[in-house]
Amino acid sequence: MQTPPNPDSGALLFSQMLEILINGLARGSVYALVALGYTMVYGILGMINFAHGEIFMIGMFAAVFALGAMGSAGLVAVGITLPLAILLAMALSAGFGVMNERIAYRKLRGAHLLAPLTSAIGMSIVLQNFVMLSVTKGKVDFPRAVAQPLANTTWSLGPVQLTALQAVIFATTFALMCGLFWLVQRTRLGIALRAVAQDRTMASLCGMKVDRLIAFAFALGSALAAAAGAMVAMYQGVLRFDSGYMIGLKAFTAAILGGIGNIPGAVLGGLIIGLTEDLTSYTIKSEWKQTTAFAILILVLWLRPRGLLGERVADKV
Amino acid sequence: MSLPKNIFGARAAILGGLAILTAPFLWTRLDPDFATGFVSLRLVPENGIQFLSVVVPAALVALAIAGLGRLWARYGSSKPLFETASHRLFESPRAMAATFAALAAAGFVMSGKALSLGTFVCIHMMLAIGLNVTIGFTGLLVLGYAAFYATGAYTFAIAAHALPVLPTWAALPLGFTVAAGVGFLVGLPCLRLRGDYLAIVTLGFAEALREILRNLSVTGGDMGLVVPMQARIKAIGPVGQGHASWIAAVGVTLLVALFVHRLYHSRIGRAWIAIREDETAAAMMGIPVVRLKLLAFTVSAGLAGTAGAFFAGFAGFVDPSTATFEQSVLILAMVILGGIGSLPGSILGAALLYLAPTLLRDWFPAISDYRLFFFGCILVAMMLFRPQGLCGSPRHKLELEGAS
Repeated sequence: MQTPPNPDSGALLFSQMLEILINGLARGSVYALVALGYTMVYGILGMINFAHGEIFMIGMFAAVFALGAMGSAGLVAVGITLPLAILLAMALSAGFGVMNERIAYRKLRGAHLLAPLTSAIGMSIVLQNFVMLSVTKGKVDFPRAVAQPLANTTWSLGPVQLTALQAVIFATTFALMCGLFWLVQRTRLGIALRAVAQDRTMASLCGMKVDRLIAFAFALGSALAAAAGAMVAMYQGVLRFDSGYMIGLKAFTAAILGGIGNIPGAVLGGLIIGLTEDLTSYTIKSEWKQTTAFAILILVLWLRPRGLLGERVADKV
Repeated sequence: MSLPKNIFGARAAILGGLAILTAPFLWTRLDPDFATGFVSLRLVPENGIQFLSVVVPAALVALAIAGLGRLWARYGSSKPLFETASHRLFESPRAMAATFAALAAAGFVMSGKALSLGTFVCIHMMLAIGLNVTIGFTGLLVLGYAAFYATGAYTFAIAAHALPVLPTWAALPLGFTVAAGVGFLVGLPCLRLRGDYLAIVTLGFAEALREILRNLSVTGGDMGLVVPMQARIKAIGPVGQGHASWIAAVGVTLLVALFVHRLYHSRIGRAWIAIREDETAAAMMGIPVVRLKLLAFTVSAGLAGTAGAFFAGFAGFVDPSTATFEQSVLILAMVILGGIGSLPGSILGAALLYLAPTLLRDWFPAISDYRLFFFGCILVAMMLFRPQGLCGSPRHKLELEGAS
């Protein structure tokens, strides 16, 4: 016998908690993917890539464009088009990320903190308005025929339901994160990236192509953001030119929460922010989720300014 | 120095890359098929032609202006044109007072529409001057400045509802005090940290504040609040409401400008500059860095509150759109265009960036959608090519370019 849920009790049922947990983790893993891009760029250049949220949005649109192009070519099998669309979106966004770095940031390396940050804000506005002007002011629907079968397939895991779409999100995110950790920790390229993050001048003296490595870091972060974008577009069903702004802000909050510059920290921060949001929506009201996210940010800055996993580093003179 | 051929090659590569990357956005259109739920892509040249027909001429105009500026620098005067003109008008308190008095007197020959436009320009001048205190003097970036503007506006609107006897002039101290208090509380946790944390925290604060303003009943939700008649700026004797607002706006702007001018040339102002130039060295010299940064941020927030309360008294309504990111970016663009750290620059930047889009909208209504796009371009281009702004000092240029 199952007891009916009692709304007046105030306490959350176990199954409800699991549901919040799954939804929150799905949302949080997307934030984590975007936060990785922020944290990598910050780790290497020490600047906030404010336009990263817009790269995420470009990824959303690129996925729909790719699906459209394949649709026009007569390719409609979801099993093929969807992974292909995500890959194409990652490629196009990586291009945007690299171009962004080349135009707006490269010349400002080593300048006062204000200069690259202002330039990044400008770039973010340019990208957002470019999509608004060239695609549409209104919303674009993610092709229903691609997302619907995944959203409608559900598996029950004990008391809760897991949709295939959520499973795809978890699997993709997990695979991408493992790939990134492997790349950064185990390959020569990763070692070079870490060397550039540690000391740019020394790395270039040792013969590393610093410009190319930085561009590569931007490409990597942008590709991850685009994958996240494609999945969010699928999950929400609609996309707009300003969809990236809020997610970018939250992912940045996540990166600070985990300790900016720290890769596992970004993942942890993303999951925490995602869970908090769903918890707020269930317990208080969904209109207040931004305010709670902000309250958490202030609290963390107050109590642990370097973030949860960030170590205390002395400022360079 | 690299060879000219290389420079050309790099530019060609960038342009080519841009052309490839933007192609799907510019030259195609998505056709959703609602029956099957699939989507298809169609080549549509009109889209891209329309976009390029606005952007390419604008880029040519910008290049022409840049070229003229370069010619002026080479053959005209050793000082840039804007710098000379604006410094002469706004350099000393006496010059500022004379300029603003002339502006106030000019109001009597201006039409009603021009007066209200001018009053809005003055409100933005106050905002730009206020933001300049944190960004320009102290070197701290604030991204959610409009939040303090909204704080001031809402404070006055709510107070006028609660206290029917509240006089209009009370807007200024009230807006200043409450917004400064809020600024103090927001700045407290993040000013101990690196400068860019403040940028993000204020941005988050602006978003959270907008959400709060939209959800609470005391702030009127999405509709906003109407300021009661008795608290608005009224006609005084023979002077009509439009003229009264204009004169009040010019007067308050002058007050704000003088206040900031005195502050800049005081001990506190010199300490702020020292902090901006080298925080560690400033701390070594015994400057209480955190306390002074907090002071700069508090004063800056308070000035935004003053402008906000004035706006509430002038426009007669407030709504959550005063706290949008667009508003914050507009003010930031004014400070950067005019010249980071320069008081005449903020005044000039505010006038240019508020008037230009409004006049452009009247003359070329088709391109008003492109306003924000061009703001973004201006921000990036200024940082790349003229980081000190239209009338900033060479000293700022050295700092922004990192000449060490």
